[in-house]
Amino acid sequence: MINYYIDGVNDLHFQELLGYQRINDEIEQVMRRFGYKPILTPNFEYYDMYAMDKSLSRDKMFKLIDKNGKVMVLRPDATIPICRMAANTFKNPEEVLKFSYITTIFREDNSKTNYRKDFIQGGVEYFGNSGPECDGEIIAVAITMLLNLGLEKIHIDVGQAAFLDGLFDGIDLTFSEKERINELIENKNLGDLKLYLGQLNITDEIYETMLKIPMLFGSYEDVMKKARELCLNGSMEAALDHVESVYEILSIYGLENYINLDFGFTNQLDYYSGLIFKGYAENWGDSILSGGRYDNLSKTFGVDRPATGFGINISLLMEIIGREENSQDYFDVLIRYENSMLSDALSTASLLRDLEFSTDIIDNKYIYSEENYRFVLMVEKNGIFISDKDDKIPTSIEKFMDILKGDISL
Amino acid sequence: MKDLNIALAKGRVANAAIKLLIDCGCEFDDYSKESRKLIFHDKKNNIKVTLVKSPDVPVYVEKGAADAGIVGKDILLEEKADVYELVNLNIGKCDMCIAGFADKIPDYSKKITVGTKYPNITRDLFNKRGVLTDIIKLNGSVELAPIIGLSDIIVDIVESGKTLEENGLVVHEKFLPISARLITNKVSLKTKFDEIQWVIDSLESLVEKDGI
Repeated sequence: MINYYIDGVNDLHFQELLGYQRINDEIEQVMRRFGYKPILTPNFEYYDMYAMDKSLSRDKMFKLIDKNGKVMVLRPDATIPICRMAANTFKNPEEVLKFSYITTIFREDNSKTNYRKDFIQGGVEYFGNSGPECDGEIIAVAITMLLNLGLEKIHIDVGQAAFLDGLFDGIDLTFSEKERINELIENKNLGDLKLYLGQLNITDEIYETMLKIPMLFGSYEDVMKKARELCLNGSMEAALDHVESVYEILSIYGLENYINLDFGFTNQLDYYSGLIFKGYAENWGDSILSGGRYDNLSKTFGVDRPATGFGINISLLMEIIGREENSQDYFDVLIRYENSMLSDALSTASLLRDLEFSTDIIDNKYIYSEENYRFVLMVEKNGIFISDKDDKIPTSIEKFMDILKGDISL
Repeated sequence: MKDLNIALAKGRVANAAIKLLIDCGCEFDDYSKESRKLIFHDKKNNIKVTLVKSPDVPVYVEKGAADAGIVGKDILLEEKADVYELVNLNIGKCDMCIAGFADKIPDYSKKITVGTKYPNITRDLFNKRGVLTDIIKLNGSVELAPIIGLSDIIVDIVESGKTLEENGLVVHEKFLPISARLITNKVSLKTKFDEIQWVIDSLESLVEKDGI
């Protein structure tokens, strides 16, 4: 027999799916509570649209070819298509838009330890507001989701892409040099950063400052103080001012204790332009959610509108907190009948369904799992019975209804 | 202190790294070079050291099975793990080299065959140079490949050059210096910052003192 199973994708069984539904419900509730409208973009879009963002590696996209020979890709990222949709439909750059989504992301991941080729992501995008209250709200939504899901030891690391960009201001570096520095800082690769910066034509002051950025993380007060001392110009100061205002907003929400700083976060997804953040929980070795400001992305779709948002990896959440849901009582009734009692059994089933009880029915000659029913009702020639472990308790339709409604007990 | 779990690449790197850790003040009662044990505890500092095969070190660390790891740069370039690469320890130093027969420098304008344990590093190198290659991935005794005519040249790490010499080969070109790195899991660096910082500080002071 041929094994048709594809590495990196998964079948979801009944209990697991219930687990996903529970997580999705929590997440959707939080999005709704904060006023985000659910939307959905198509599963595939033109390759060219994603190709403009250099950070989404072309090797990681699943490609399709339409009948005209145009290349399309299965959604490798949710933000870019939502940004396109917002720009297509809402042309006024002043208009504020708040969207939420839960959707599948497809990525061919070549990492040794991550085998998922598709995963479910939830997220929100907030367009048209560049104020700190907007970043604050986004982070508050993220924290609320983690808290409502019952996760412990959660924290959000906040970084600021504009801080490093400010440091680059006025230094004569090529794009690829900046890219290399970004990469070394992002990986906190201090040894190689030292070597690389040593080869560049930069002042000692800038050299020293850049070397400090990778380790500029930790509690808010500490790191903010250290970062202030490193400021060499107005744009670095302004970048910190923004982080400070966002922190103040989060204090009003009462969520400031979940915030740490990490100025070593750089602009990994090419579109991030300002405040960036990642969320962690339960000492899990990977971030569960990540997001940030992408003020320049919408411009590429013709509407110059600031934006921020984040995505939360629901498949990963399922790994962390997913448990098989108790599905014992998923359905109300299973009717098992003796072959000759078919018509009685069918009318009983109709009656129960009319009363909105989920009712399954099957001839008792078949092998059939009885796991997920509150009651198993046996319709036989000599009467009807409720099956209770190995016992058969005689009953009548009327009495059974009362039991179902909870009016009397078994 | 919280427990700190460090994965070391078995062999050359582990021996040097354990020596470094002992110099930092760690005490591994049950450690000896000959021992076949794979896990050692330092009860004083709450450090657990696990010996694993070198390509597995980045995997352990990325997955969080170990908080930190010590492994050669060659492995990090080949395996490309999502970890922080904090300190260049300057131990286990060697070079990534192109090697072959002294009198047979291949014609790089034509397609060449390369035997190596490092297909990714080899591909990156020759792609950058615009050289066409067939890469043969081998798992050891790479020196044999040119001798038995399996490949024109090899790409491998060379420490003293002795193995090459004994097999009649020479280094054509050293293209990348390699040394051991301290890597950490991205979350552990934050959740166990004090512990990791202690290791970094201790190691860095040694690295600088010896000036290796």
